[in-house]
Amino acid sequence: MISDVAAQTVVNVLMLSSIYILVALGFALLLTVLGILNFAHAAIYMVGGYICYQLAVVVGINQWASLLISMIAVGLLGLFLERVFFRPFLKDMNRIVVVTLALIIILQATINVTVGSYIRRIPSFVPGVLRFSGVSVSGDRLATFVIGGVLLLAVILFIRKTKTGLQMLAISQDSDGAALQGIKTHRIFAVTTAIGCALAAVAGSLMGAILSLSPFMGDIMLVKAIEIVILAGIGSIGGVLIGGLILGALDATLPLFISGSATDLTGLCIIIILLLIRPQGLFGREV
Amino acid sequence: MKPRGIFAIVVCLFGALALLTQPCLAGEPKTLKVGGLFCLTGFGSSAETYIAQGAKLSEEWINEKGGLTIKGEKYKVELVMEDMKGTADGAVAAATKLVYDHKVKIVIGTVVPFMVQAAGSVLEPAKVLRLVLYNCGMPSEYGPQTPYMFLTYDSTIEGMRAALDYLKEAYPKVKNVAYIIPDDGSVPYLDKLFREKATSMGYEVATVGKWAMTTQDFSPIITKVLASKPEAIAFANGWPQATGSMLKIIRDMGFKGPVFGCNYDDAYQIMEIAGKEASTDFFIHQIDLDSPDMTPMIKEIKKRAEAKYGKAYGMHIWGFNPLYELKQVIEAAQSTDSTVLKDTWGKMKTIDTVYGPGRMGGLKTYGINHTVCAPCPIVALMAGKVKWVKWVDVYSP
Repeated sequence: MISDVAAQTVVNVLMLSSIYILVALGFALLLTVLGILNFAHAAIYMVGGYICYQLAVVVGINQWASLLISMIAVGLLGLFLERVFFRPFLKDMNRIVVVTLALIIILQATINVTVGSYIRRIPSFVPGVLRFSGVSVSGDRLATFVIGGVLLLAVILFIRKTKTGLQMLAISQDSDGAALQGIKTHRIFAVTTAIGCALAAVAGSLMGAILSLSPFMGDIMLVKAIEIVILAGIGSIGGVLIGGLILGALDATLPLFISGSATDLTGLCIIIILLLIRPQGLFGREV
Repeated sequence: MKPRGIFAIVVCLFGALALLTQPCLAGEPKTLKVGGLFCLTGFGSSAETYIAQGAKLSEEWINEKGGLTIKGEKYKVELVMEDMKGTADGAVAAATKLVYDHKVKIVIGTVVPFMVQAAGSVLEPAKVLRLVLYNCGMPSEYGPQTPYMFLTYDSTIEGMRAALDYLKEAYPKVKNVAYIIPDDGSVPYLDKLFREKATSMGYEVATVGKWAMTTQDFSPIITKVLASKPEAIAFANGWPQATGSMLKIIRDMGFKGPVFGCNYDDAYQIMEIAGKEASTDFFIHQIDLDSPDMTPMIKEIKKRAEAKYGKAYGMHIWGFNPLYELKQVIEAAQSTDSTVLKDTWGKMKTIDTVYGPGRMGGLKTYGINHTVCAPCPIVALMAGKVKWVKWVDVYSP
């Protein structure tokens, strides 16, 4: 019996961590490269979920194709957001924070007014449940685990192995220096925002199938994404993996021993202790 | 013409106009402003938007029927809604605006305990009559210290009694039940009441699982609950996204026994979230708008909701009910004064609800006899379909 619970908990940790990593990935990318604390990330994630829902359920397109179209559409939305909302305020943290907070309200209100607040769910991407040795995992969670891992790896490889990725790294270290070296910083900013938003759309679509869709679905996930990025250390995309695993492990195991809201409090206390030991986060740069 | 002459003509014209319009104005009904506190955005808005629409339908229904007659004078009802934005701060701000800007003395609405309490901190001292839709059993939420608050329909405590009775009837072999509660402050009270009722019926309580209000993934709490080997699982409270998610995970993890909700919730929405495969052997406190067994009033509200909003939901019926009851109280009291209304309602033994005849109760259970107990409907999800079960007569002494 205890071994069944332990085995199921290990699976829960991996699945929940992959959900968190997927949500935090785009947020971490924008913070690392552009230095933007994009609070609207979770609202963009919600928009991605709704686009996927509309295409898959209302229009009747195949779910995977809907996810792909949602990714592209939200990536294009990212280009628009970068040009209109982010670029004019790039070096002004105060304004960018206010702008991204305003974006949350705009996006949530738009969905609330146009689609309504009725809770929806995207039909399963991978129907069915996998059962083995007393452990169960739904197809959607398994898909999220695989997609989360693949996307994380793809983003890391993209940044380290491609010219555009290396330019992103250069900008993240010194944007003025990078510009002096001939890097078209605005183009890189636009590409980064588009990728970050597209990643949010993937996360929103998968969460729309695993959990549910509502205009305010991103509110709590935003807090999780911030916790992961701070734990990982600002500037570390790879650290998102460890940050996500730690937060997933806390959220999946603490409810077995501690009840209710005390799990949140205990989880945050552990994160604070880790940050007291390493203020720059697990893989962050010393400032 | 001299300016003085022009002035005299204008004054005469205005005077004549005032005299001509006076009889018309005298014939116009007066307006009774009633405040509406709802989460139109943020936490809870998925349900409360539809509750607010239901309240709007009841305002229109009352006015179409000629409004309210108080001491021979006609009154039209005007519902003034404020958005609580799903937060305690929002609830306080919305209640403050209703009381001090709109000067209302009667407020309907609010469901979630922390918002009921937050709004109460403004409304009770201002002696505003409150018609609340739901209660989670916390003394700080509703009790002797909230004399101006009335609970307009069965909540989780009444729902729990009806659900356990039905569990006994439909699944007689079940011997133990696990109880899952959101950690919103109600745990010690609901835990005690559930144990009392369950043990009095011969059930063992396998475990009591508590989930944080910020929970996104219910797998860990369901893993813990299933480890206690329950034969049935009960949910105390929760919006459809929580109930639907938990039901899906419970079935994904292989549990095949009955699962039920003690709260008023939308079975269709729960099924949409849980998926059809998981939506079986589940029942909850809810109506089935398509069943012929609905009351004439529910049938009328359904028609009105479909005409105005395109589709009717159980939440529309829930939102309609408070103003429907208020109309009876005002006409019985022949007053709009909140204290007179409170005293009159407190002395009433029965009141009609859209769900059928209601009885006033709650003195022993809540410490105040301001609870309207009415027939509690049960709807089941069986093999991916919504199935009407029956009305259960419940009463909180």
